[in-house]
Amino acid sequence: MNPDGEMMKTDQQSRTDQQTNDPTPKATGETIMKVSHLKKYYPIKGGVLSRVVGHVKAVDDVSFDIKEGETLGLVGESGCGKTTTGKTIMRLVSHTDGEVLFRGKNIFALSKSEMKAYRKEVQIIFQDPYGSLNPRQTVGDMLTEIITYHQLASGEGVQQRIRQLMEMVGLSDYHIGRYPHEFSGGQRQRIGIARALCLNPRMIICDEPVSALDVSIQSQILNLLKDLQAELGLTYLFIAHDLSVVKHISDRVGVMYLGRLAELSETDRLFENPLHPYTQALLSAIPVADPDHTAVKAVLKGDVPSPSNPPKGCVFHTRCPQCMPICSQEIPVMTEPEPNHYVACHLYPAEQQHRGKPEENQH
Amino acid sequence: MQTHLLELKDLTTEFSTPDGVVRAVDQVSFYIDQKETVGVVGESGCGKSVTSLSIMGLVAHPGKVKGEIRFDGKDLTKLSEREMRRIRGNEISMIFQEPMTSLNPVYTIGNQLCEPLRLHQGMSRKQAWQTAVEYLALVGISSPEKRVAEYPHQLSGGMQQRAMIAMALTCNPKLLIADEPTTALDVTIQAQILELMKDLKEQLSTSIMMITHDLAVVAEMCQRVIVMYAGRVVETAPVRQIFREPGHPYTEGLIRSIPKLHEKEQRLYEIKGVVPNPLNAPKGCKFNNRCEFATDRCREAEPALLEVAPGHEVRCFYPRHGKEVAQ
Amino acid sequence: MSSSNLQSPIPEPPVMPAEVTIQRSTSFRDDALRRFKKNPTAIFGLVIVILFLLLAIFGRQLTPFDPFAQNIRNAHQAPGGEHLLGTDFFGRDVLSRIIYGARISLFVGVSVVTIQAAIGVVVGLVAGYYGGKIEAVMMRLVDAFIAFPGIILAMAIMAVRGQGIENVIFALSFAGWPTFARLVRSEVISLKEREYVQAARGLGFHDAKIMFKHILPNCLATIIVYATMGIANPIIAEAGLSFLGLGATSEQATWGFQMSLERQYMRTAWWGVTFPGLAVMIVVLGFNLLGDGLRDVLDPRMKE
Repeated sequence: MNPDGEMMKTDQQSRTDQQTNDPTPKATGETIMKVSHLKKYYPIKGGVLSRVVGHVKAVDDVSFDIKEGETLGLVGESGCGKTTTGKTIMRLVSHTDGEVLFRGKNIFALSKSEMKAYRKEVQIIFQDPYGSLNPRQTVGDMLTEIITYHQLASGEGVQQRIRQLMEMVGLSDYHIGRYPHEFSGGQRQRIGIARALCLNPRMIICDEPVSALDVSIQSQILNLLKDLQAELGLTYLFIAHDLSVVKHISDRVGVMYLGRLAELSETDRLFENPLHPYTQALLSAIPVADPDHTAVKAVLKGDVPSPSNPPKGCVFHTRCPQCMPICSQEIPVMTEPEPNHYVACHLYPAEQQHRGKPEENQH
Repeated sequence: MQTHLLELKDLTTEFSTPDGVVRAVDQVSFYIDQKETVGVVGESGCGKSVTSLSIMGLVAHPGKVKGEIRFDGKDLTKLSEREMRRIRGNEISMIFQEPMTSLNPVYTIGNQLCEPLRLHQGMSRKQAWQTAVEYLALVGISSPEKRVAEYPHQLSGGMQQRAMIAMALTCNPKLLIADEPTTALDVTIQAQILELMKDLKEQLSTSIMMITHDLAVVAEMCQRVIVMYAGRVVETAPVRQIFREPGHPYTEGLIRSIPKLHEKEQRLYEIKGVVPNPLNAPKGCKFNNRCEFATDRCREAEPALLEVAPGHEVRCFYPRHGKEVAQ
Repeated sequence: MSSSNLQSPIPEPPVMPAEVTIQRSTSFRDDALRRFKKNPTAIFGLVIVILFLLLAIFGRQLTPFDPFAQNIRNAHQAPGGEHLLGTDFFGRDVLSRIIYGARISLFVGVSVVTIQAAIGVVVGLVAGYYGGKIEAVMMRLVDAFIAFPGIILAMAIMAVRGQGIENVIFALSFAGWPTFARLVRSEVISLKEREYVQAARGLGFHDAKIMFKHILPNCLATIIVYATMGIANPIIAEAGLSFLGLGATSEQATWGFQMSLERQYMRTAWWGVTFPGLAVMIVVLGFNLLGDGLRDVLDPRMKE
C-alpha cells in the first residue's frame, strides 16, 4: 500500500508490518469498547417558559460490547436510536446516563488530552456523501489540515501520507486538488473514509455509509471497507437499516427498536434463528431479489410508536404478534437463551437462561 | 395484434444546458399492457424518472420531448396542455418517493382526495367526501372517518404513503406510475405498502409502472422488467428471465452486486467506475468503460436492442445469456 | 445542470489528463462567473460601483477644478457653462466636489460595513455555535440594539464626540452589526448540523478552528451579499448626519455635507443640492444591484 515503504515509517506502516506477521487480524476477542446502560434523552420543551415537558428517549438503556477487529452491526428502522448511539459513542452528542468504556476508560470522563487521544482512536464515516465534506476545501487541504493539526507528519511527509491515504481508498493523486462537488457520490464516500483513516484509528463508526449510494457503487464501498479492515485490523461499528448489507459485513449484529436493543448475536445465528418477534418480522419483511422466493410474510401491523411516548412495558408489544399480558407491564431484561445470543423478550424468561459460561461483560 | 395500454416509441427527452445538450432519455421504446406491472430499473441518472415525467407531460422548460407516447390509442405528445390535464390524475396517476413533500401541508387529506374527484368525475362535495373515506379504508388506514379530516403532518410516513396511494387511485386510473414508492420507508412499512399495492392491483385491475433502483422490490412486484442505463433501455425481459438469465453485463452486474440475504459471500461483485457524465458518454456502447467483456467492437459501435429469447431483448453484442444474434 | 459537474470516471486515472483536472477545479467559480455574466442588472451595478471606485481612487487627478478653491464672483453659476454641474455658494465647482466626495463617502460605506460585519460575524458565530445560555444572552443584546433606532444612537454619539469622519464611522458601526449577527447565527445553526462540521469535531479540532475554518467560509457568500447591499446604508446615513450638521467637517466635504451647505439655496440654485444627492442615489443603486446579482450567483442553494 505504500510504494516508498522504506522512507516512511508512520504508525500506520508499522502496524501493517505487524499484521503481516500475524495472519489472523480478525477479531482477537479482546473487548475494545464496552457500552453499558447508555441512555440519551432529548428534552421536549413546551409552554411559554419553555419548560421541559417530556423526553424523547432516543437511546434507552443500551448495552453491548465490541471486540477488537470485529464488525458489530446495528440495525433498526428509522427512529430506533442506532445513529444516536453512534454519535454518543463518538461524543458528538452528550449522553444522559450510562457509560462507554474504551479500553477500560470511561469516555465521558476523559481529560482534554485523553479526549484528543480518543479522537485519534475512534473515527466516524457519515451517510450523506453530499453533506459530509466541506464544500470549500479541496481533498488535499482537508487531509493536510488533519495531519498538521495532530502533528502526524511534517514537510514532505504530509504529501506522502495524503498520497498513501488516497491510494488506500482507491483514489488517485490527481483527485487531491479537487473540490467535493467535482466527485460522484461513491467517490465522496471514499474521501470520507480517507478522512476517517487519516488519524490511524483503531475503530470506525460507520453511520449508514452506503445507504445513499447506488447498488453498483454500494458494493464497491462495502468491499473497500472489508479490505481496509483486513489490511489495518480495524474494528467497525456498522450502523445501517439495510439488513442484507449488515449481514454481509458484520460478525455480530444487534437489532434495535425504539431506543432499545432487542436482540444481539452472531450474524449467522441471528439470521438463521431469530428469537425476538421483532427480528423475525424484520427478516421476513425484506424483499428478496429472487422472483421464485416465496416466503410466508409476517407483515407487521401499524407504525413505530413515537419515541417521545413509547409504550409501557416492552416497547414492541403494540405491534407484536405474540404479545402476552406481561409484555405491557414489565420491561423485559436481556437474557441469553443460547450461548452468545442475547434477547430482550418475555418469551425467553431469565429462568430458562442458557447455563453456559455467561459472558461477564453482558448483563 | 393486441394493442398495448402504453407504448413508447423512440422517446427522447433532452435538456439544453450551458455545456451542451443532455439526452436524459435516449430513444426509449417499451410497452405496458393492461393489468401488467412493469419495473423500470436503473441507477441514479439513468433516465428512469425523466421517462415517467415525459409520459405525464411534466417535463419542464428547457426540456424537450420527442418521439411517440401512445396511451390508450392517443399520442400524448400531440395533446394540448388542457387535454393532458384531463388525463393526468385521472387516467394516469403517479405516486412519488417522498409522501411528505408530495402532500400539500395546508390542506386536509380529505380536501386533497376530493379535489381530483370533483375535478375529473364531477362529484358533489358530499359524494367526493364519502368516496375519499372509502378509499382511505381501501388502502388500510384505520378509522378513515377521522383521518380524512387530518392534515398530512398528523400522519406517520407509512400512513402518508397510503394516503398518497389512495389519492392516486381515487379516479380509478388505467395506469399508475410509482416512482420509488417505498425507498423512503422502513422495511416493515415497505412490506405493508408492497402488499397493499399487490392487493389493489388485483382489485382495481390497474397497470403499474414501478420505477425503482431496488431489484428486490422488482422481484416481488413485477411481471416484466426494463433495465435502463445512461438514458437507454439496455435490457427488457420477464422478471424470472432477468434474474435467472440476465443478458446484459450491466444487469448481471447489478444483480450480482447486491448482498444476498440467504447466501454467504466474502466479496461482493463490483461494477467498476461510475455512471458516465451524460455530456461525455463513451462512444459505442454506453457501458463499455465499465464492462469487463468490452471489446473494440463495443467501443466503436452501439449495439441495437435485439431479441435473444422470446420477450427478452438485450442491447449487447455479446449477451451473457440467450442466443447471440447478428447485429 | 449541477449533476453534470459531479461525475468523473474513476478508478481509471489515465482517462483524465492533468490539465483537465486543474481546469475542472475552478468549475464552481466558472459557473458563478457565467451566471453573473448572464445577469444584466448585476453587470450594470458592477459598472456603477467600479466607476465610483475609480473616481474615489483617482479623484484628485480627475477633478477639473480644485474642489476647495473659493471664488465668490463665480458663486452659483448654472450648470452647462465652464462648470459642467455649476458652482456652489462659494463658487466652488460642484463636479469637482462630487468627485472629491466620492472617496470619503465610499470610505465611510466600506469601513462601516467592514466593522459591522466583523462584530456581527463573531457574535453570530459564537452565539450560533455554542447555543444555550451564551446564545440567549448574546441574542438579547442583539435584540436590544436592533430595537434602538440606529440614527438616533448615531446622532447621540456624534453629539458627544463631535464632528469628523472617524466619529461618523464609529457612530454608524454601532447600528448595523446586529443584523449581521442574526444572519450569521441562523446560518451557523443550520451549518453546524452538517456532517462535515460533525466530522471536524470528531477529528478533535478545537472550536475556534471549526468556527472559522469550517463554518465561516460556508456562510461567506451570504455575508458578502448582505455586506454589498449594506454599503448603501452608511453612505445614506452619513449623508443624513452631515446634512444635519452632525457628520463630516468642511475639509472632509462629503456628499451629505455638500447638500447640507447648499440646501438653503435650493430654490435659486437647485444644482448645488441635487447633484450630490443624485451621486448618493446612483451609488446606492449600484451597490444594491450588485448585491442582488451576487445573491443570484452565490446563493448557497444554487451551488449544491
